[in-house]
Amino acid sequence: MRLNRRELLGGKTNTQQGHVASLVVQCLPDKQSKTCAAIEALQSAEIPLREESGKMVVLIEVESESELLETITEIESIPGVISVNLAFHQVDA
Amino acid sequence: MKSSRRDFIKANAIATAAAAAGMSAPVSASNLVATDNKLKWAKAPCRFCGTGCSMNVATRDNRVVATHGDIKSPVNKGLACVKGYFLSKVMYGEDRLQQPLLRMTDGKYDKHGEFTPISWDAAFDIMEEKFKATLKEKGPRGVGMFGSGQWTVWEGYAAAKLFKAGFLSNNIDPNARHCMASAVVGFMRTFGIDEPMGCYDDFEHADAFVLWGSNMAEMHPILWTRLTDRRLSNPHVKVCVMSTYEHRSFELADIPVIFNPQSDLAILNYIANYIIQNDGVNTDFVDKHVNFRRGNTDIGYGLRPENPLEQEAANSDKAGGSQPMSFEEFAKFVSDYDAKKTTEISGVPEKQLIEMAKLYADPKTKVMSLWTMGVNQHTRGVWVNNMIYNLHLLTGKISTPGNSPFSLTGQPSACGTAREVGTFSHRLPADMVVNNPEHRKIAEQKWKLPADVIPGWVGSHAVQQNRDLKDGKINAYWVQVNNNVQAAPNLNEETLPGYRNPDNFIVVSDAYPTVTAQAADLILPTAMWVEKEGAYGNAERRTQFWHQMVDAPGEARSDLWQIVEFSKRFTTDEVWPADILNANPEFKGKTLFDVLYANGQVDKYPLSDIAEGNRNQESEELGFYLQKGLFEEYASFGRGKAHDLADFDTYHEERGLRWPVVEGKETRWRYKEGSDPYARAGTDFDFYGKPDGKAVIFALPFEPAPEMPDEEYDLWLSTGRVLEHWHSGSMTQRVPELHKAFPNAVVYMHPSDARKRKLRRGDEVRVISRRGEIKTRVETRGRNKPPVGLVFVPWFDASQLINKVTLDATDPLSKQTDFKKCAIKIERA
Repeated sequence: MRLNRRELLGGKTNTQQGHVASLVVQCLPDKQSKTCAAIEALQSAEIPLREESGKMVVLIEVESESELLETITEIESIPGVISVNLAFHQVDA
Repeated sequence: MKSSRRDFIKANAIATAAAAAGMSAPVSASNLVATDNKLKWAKAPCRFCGTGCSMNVATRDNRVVATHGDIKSPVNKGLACVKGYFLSKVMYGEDRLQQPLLRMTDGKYDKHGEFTPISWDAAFDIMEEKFKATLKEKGPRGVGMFGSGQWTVWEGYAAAKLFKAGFLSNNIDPNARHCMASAVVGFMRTFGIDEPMGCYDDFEHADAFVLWGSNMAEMHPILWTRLTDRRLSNPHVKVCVMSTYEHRSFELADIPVIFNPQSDLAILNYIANYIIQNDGVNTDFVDKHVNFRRGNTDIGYGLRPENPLEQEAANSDKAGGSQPMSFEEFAKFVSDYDAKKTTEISGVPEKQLIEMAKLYADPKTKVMSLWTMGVNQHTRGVWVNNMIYNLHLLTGKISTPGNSPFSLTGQPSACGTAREVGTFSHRLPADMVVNNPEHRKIAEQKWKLPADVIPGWVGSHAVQQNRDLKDGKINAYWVQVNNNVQAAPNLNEETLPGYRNPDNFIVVSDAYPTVTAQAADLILPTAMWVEKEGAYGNAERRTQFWHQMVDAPGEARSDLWQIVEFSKRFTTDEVWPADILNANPEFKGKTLFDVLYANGQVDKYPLSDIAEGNRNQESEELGFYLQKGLFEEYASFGRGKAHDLADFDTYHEERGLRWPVVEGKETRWRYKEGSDPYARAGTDFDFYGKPDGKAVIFALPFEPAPEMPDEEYDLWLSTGRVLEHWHSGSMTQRVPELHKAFPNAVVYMHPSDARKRKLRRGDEVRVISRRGEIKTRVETRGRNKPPVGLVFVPWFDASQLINKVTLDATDPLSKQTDFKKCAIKIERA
């Protein structure tokens, strides 16, 4: 778990949270293999379902909501990614 | 145990996403999260943009705890964009306002005092005092209100009624003036009736999409997903993305076009010319359904009248004028715009111009044109709207599935409230206007008011209101659901001097201490979104309702409650002219509340009509179903007039319906016989907003922007948004996750423009115009890539108010500001 100064000062480092989210990601079909590789290279993301059309379900497991946002932003900035939308999010405290 | 629970959650996550994506999943695709029996789920349209996604909202212990995309919604089909997903958090920022605050010194109101908590009674006391004093001294023109496309339908309706029929002042305007006014005037000029003829179903039918300046990938992510699905599952489909700088939507572009600011006018005429020269005109359609008119030119830039640019303009006082012309004359008019001239003005190579023009000219290609602020925030915004319709009308590509000039909207109810209710300074409900005596008469009858009570003068629009405040013409002013100090142009020279003018009393209702609230004298804490019962109307004419699901924190109350309560403080004797009261003695001595809201119509529905298990703060306090009464009275304006809304209770059941709703059926494509019940038999197409059923093609030229880069101020400045922030950031910056994703605004510039100024990425710089400056940092990478000569600054950051820099030039027809073009220079800080 990443240590954040504010959380440390606030004594929040012991709050172990699990965040599970799923995204529907669309990428350009001809760039799919590269795009998928870049997504799977992210520590917290995996691709349980994909279609040849470039559409895929990305599963994210992280420890905080801000990490979730960071991961989404990283995915959005991968070349070939056209759209990223959220389908599901649950906190497993 | 934990791991199996986690596996279960993951399986759920995958199944839910698969269902929303239309993919087959390994496990049952039912939404298992909804079975948590501690949560209560209900539907509500999203609070943020004009797309109108339906969300499922979970509440527990009087608090919204989760939201997700509504699988039953035809708009978003189970998906939610990032900002929509974190919607629940907009209500729970640490700095949420919970009680009225008045600037006071030694226990008394003082314009220079500190904000001090007071009771609602005390807040209304001082408001009453200031409004009454102003009405007495200056009459109805001395008071004003600035509202919003984020008002619910009944809030906008109640406010418009209080001002137009209560205070007898048309000085009420919504912030939709800043985003949609050019679109509205464009519709009225071309079709005589507001709002798109098509709908989102067009996304699944079009063969080509042309984005006129719009960055849908970031601004309308859900609609962008529908567009992307269509493009990628149908290889013949083409996407043309046009902008003055490269942004994320370019990733999908088959035809990526960067054009010089303002040159869209030339490109549109080039395409019209190409259509005519290359046999693309649908002659039968044009003969039967179109008139041609030559619009007045040299119409000025909506600046103050003493500005030299206004004095030089030949037609600034008759900007809306036009004369009939023939098709041949129109053809000759646009023939000036050949490829050579258009490339010279626009910087777009001929090859690209032809590629774009072919999409429109080929009769087999169904085209959807899409636009938002790039077109509307434009000193010739109405013209550009008219000229996009020109292309669709010349080719007959309109009002049928996939053939759709589609004006997107920014705010959740810019259509439903600002436009349909008519909260503009010149409008009444159902597209009627205050300067038409017949329209006023209809409104007076519907409202059961004396004849001639509604004023016929057009009130001050958004930018004019700030000028009036500065000039001391408006002295008592109320702002609801918007952040106009941050949003309006030319902050230093117009807005702040107006708000802080010692003669003025400024009231701001908001959920958070925005810069506008901080510039006010009295702050009223407001209930937001599902803390009240509401209705919004989205960009495709879809009206959607929601119930109050939780209570607002502290003493925060809805804008509707505030308006209705305030109306109790005035009697007709205090605000109406004596001759009207003498002629109608039954109105003497009544409060505005009695006259406007307890009029036998608004108060006729009992509390028992509220669907069981739902709260309703305002109605419970008043003893009647306020929202239902307001809605049904309002809906009576549009029924039978091509703006038909369904009955109140229906909307609480449906995921919205697209008006006109006739005999229980919504309308997807207007003006087309067979799909629009108002299109008369035998017409095929019937543009019934115009008396002869014909739409208008306007001949309009390229005219330059009011301010362009020169030797000293050598760069174009364009402003706009980024995905994670919406509106002015007043809500999204309260969501820590969203704020973190994009914490501070930057200036995006081309690496060679940076090098030329010896600047590097991350350097602190001053962005300077003739009006003001801000400090920010250079960004040469990332999702927005401006060409050489143009920089882009997002406008959500309250610590870097870019509107100190922008110019308050407006479209003379729509009075909407051009936030996309002014001249600046950049220096190292």
